[in-house]
Amino acid sequence: MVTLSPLISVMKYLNYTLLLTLLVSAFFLKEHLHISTNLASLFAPKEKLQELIIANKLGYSKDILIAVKGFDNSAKKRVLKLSQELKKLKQVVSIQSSLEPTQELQDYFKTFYPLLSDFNHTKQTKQSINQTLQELYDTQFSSIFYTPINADDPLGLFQLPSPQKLKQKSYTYILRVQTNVSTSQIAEATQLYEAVKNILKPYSEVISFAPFYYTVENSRAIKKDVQVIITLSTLVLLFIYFILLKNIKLLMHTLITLLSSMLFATLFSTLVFKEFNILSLAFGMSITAVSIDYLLHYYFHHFYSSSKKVETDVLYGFLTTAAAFMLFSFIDIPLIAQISFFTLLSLSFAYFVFTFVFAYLEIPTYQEKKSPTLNTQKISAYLIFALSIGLIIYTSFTLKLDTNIRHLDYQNISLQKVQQIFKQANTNKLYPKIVQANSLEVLVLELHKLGTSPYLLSQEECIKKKNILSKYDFETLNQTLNTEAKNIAYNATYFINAYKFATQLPKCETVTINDFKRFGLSVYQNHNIYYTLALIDNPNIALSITSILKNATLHMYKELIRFSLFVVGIIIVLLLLSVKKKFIYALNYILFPPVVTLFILSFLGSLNIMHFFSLIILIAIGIDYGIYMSNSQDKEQTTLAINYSLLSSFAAFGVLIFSSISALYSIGITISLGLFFIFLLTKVMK
Amino acid sequence: MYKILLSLFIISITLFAQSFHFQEVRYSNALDKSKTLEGNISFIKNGLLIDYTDAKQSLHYINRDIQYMKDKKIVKLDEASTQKIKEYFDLLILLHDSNDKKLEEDFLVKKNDDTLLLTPKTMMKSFITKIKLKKEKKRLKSVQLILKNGDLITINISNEIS
Repeated sequence: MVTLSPLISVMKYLNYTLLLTLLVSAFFLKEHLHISTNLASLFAPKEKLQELIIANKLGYSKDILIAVKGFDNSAKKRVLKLSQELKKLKQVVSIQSSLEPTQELQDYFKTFYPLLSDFNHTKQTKQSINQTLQELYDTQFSSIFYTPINADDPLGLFQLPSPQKLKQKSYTYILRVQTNVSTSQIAEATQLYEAVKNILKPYSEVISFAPFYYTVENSRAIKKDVQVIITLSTLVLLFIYFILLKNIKLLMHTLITLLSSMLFATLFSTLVFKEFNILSLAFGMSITAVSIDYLLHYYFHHFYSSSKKVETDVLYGFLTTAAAFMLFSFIDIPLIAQISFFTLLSLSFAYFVFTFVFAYLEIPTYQEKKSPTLNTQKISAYLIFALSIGLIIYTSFTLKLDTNIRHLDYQNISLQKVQQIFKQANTNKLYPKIVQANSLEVLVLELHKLGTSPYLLSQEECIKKKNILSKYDFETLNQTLNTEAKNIAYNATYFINAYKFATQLPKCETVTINDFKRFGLSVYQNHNIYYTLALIDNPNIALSITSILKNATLHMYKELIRFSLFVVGIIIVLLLLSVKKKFIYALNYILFPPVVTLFILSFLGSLNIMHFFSLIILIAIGIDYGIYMSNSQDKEQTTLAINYSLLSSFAAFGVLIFSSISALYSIGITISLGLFFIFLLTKVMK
Repeated sequence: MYKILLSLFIISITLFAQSFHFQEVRYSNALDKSKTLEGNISFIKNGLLIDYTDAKQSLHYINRDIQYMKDKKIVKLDEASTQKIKEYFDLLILLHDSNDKKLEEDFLVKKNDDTLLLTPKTMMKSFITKIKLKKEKKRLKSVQLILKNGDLITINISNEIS
């Protein structure tokens, strides 16, 4: 009778226990696990997008633009009705329309009219007054236009500066709805999106756009896309594992281990990262499938039936890969850092379970089948190395970089078209610019320097204007005006109160945030600096999101190159330590596949940051195979293990080609090509 | 070529329009004098056309675009004047349509036999005190605008031009 030691009994069920523990942990921690679908902040570090963050805080991305078609009164009514309905939404802060100002604004203009207007303070003579009045008199009879005579300012000495208007070409009326929802607040954005779309539903000739629409629509599309990819990948992997292993028990344990690895990595990653992204999750899960390579190597080399505690080749392979991902988890590119962290955890978990737990699972030994070997012409490792170097040099001259991070996101064509309508139809051609100052007073002056917000008055400007007006002799002007009017035969009492409004001036108060709000300007305060967003007509000094993103992308490329050099350096050292004499042979596994892939990709178009990151992943995958092949005593079995492993990796990454998210597609195409070239190496290199 | 096309376009739209002969009397409080203008007015689908026959001047308001012609030549108007004319024409279209529901959105409406007395509720109230509309057999006969500055504009519509 055989009795099992307590350790063996524990280890036998450990695979199940681990999964169960992780599932229970996930259940209790579910409130703390947040998966983000916001891709905008994923590709660049926050400090590189500082300007964009401030613009967002100022409501740049919180505004909804609604355009109403039609010119008649009914279109005007639609705008008013829409405004009323939108105002009821709790997320709506204010509504600015191209129709008419609010009562509060009308009162403000009435009180501050003389101080807000440009005042022509040249002295008016008897003759000049007479001439102006006579011209006005004649116009009344000569023009077909009704020209009312301003009894308060018949000489037109006060002129309000012209404001900037919101007007689109074919859409007559525009509403700018300020909300308190930003692009990063998925739940709130979805709620508001639904509410606004519901309100707009009955209006056929109304279009609307807000930057957070992308968040909502893309988020849905991304979730759907990732779900399809994961399902597809799982089905393909299940099929391949079954074909490869032909052992239900081993298949089940392998699946449990892979599931536990993913769950373990998901739990820790979502707890460590404040906004762990669904894209990192999808990619991380695909990389986890690579860990089956440890199992296949053990299985085909009878590790589980041997007395060995550790297989050094697999250990070296794992350590090198883990070191690469550990280093990348410190990179200043959130997406790559997240994927690397997730992969480090999932691969480590899988390695430990495949190595130390599977040995106790009484897995039947692999039955070797002698298959006829094909004698193919082999190519020297040195020749492949030389070819790789040649291709690197050639590609470095032909390579084109894509610096637009937005190309990595889900491409929402229909929404991009609506955004384009607003962009193209903006007849005023106004562009946003962040204005900053250390006080609200100076902030107003800065806005005026840019020729914007003429109706916002600083205390300094108000006092200055008041001084000019108080020095002007409006009383004498009134008397002369009335005398001359009488001479021309005007109604004797018509100008009796002329220019009295310029002598009754309001008090000049310090500027407050409310004054900014009155004109729809948001103010954001950070470390005693006040920020606001001005709309200016000069695109050269305006806030350019394209250039901010371009700079951020260039920073990412630099960061990726810096880390890659470091990682490749460490990989080479580890490779030297583990394969010694067959260094060039092993090196080809990390050099040739990425280089040929890069060469092919450079013909397909410009390369984005995810193509490059995928090349690094290829290097990480290639290390294991390089070590296994260099140190292998039984090349046939090693090649078989590698080929099966490649097939499973191909199933995991290949499905990403079907993704409509450019980032996932780029990963899919790069890794799939790379895996093919690794396969080619196992066949042709001697 | 442009002029020919424009003329053809205007002829075609006036065929489907309601055209009237009118007399406009403008009283200026500042001058304590009145001025009379005569012409034809056509209400079309997307605007209105006014021809001041005596003054040989015309104004066409189509799809929110204003075109002013003097002695058969197009004269460019400044932005401020264009905006004021548009607002005035929008009001004329609204008054011509005489849709009670639409009128009530902008005015307090008082009915007295064939006369409608409109008191503005919106921003209009800063320059219009009241509007009097007179109808005869449900047809608009006269519009009187009583303005804040004491001016008075009376438009008498005499008959429909067929």
